[in-house]
Amino acid sequence: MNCGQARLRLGAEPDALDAGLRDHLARCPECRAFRDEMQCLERDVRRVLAPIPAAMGAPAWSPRRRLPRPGVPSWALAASVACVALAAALLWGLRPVPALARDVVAHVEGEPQSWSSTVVLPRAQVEQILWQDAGVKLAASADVVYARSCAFHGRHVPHLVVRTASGPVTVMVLRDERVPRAERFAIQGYSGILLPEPRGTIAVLERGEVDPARIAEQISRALGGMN
Amino acid sequence: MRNTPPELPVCLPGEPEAPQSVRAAERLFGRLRPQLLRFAFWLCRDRALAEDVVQEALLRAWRARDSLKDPAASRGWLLTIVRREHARLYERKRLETIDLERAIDEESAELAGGGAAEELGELRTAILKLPDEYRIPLTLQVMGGFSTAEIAAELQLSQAAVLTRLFRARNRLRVLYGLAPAPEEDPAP
Repeated sequence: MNCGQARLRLGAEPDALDAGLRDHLARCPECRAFRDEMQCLERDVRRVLAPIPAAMGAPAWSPRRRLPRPGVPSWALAASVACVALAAALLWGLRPVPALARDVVAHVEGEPQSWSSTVVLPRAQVEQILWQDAGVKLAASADVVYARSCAFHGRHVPHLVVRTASGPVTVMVLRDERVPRAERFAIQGYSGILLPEPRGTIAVLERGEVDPARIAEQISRALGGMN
Repeated sequence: MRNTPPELPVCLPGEPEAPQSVRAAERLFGRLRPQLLRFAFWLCRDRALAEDVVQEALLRAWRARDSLKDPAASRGWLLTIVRREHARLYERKRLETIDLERAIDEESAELAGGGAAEELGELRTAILKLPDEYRIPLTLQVMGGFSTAEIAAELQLSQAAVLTRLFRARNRLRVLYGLAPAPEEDPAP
C-alpha cells in the first residue's frame, strides 16, 4: 500500500485499520498525521449529524393516524391530539435528563456501527478492556459483540455492546462518574439507565424493547458490582 | 446481515394480527422516528420534505413489518426504506429547485438546537452544500452505520466508487479546518 492508497482509505473510512493499512501507518509518519486529522474531522462530522432537534422528533407515529374515524369531526380529532401531545410534551419536558445521559447518547450516536456487530468476541479481549479502563473483572459470561476503549469525559472507558434475547444493549462502564441514584432516561429514540455502583456508574442504553433496568442489574452482577 | 427492505407492501393495515406484536411495532417505529427524520433531513435538506419521506417510509415499513426477521436489524432496515423512499420521491416527480443558501439559513437554527453542535455551524453548512453524490454516501455511513459494501449495494455503485466518493466528501470538508486537500488517488485495484 502506498501513501495515496492509504489516504484514500483513511478519507473514506477514518477508523479503518486492516493489516495493510496498519503496516503502512507503522512506517509513514505523514500518513499517521493524516489519519489523526481525519479522525478529528470525523468526530466533528458525527457531532453535526448526530443530534436530533426536538422539533423534528415531537410528533408520535402510528399507522392508525391515517385511518378514518367516522363520527368524529376532523377538527375535534386534531384538537384532541394537539392537547394530548402538548400535555405529554409539557410533562416530559419537566422531567430532567441527566447531562451524563445526554453525553452517553451522543457518544453512542457517534459509533453507529457498534449496533450492527454480531460476532461474539473472545472473553479475554473483553476482559482486557474492562480491566485496563475500569479495573473491573468479568464475573460471569456475556455475549459481547462489540468492545472498545473509548475516550469519554477525558478518560478511556469500556464501551460494550451485549447481545441479549431481546436485541443488542450498549453498556458503558464509567469508573469516574457518580450518580446519586438509578436514573432512567429516554433521549433521541434510546432508552436507558444510569446505575450507581460503589466505584462508578454503569450506563445501559437500548433502542428496542429491552427493559434497561433489568439488563443493568444483570450487567452489574456480571461485573461483580464494580468492586 | 441486514434484512431485505421491502420493495412493495406485502400486507395491509387492519389484517388480523396479535395486538402485542402490533403494539411492539408501533413502539419501535415511534422510537426510531426521530432518527429517521434526522436521516431524511440530511438526504433532502428540507424539513417538510423529510417529514413526508419518513411518513411514507413508515407506512411502507408498517405494511411490510412481517418481513423484518431480525428485530436487532430494525434500524438499518428502516433507514434503507427511508433512503429508497427519498429516491422514489425524486423519481416520481421533478421537485422544485430550492434556494440552498436560504434553506440553510432557515434550517440552521433548528439544526443547531441539538445542543452539541452549536459551534460547528460552518461544518454543518459545508455538509449541507456537498453534492448529493457525496452527501448521501456520507450520511449513510456516518448516520446509518452502513459499511462501504452495503452503501455500494444500496446505491448500485462499485465499492471503489463509494470509497472515492467518501474520500472526496471528507476531502472537501478538510478545507474548513485549514488543511490542504489531499491529492486524489485512483482506488487501489
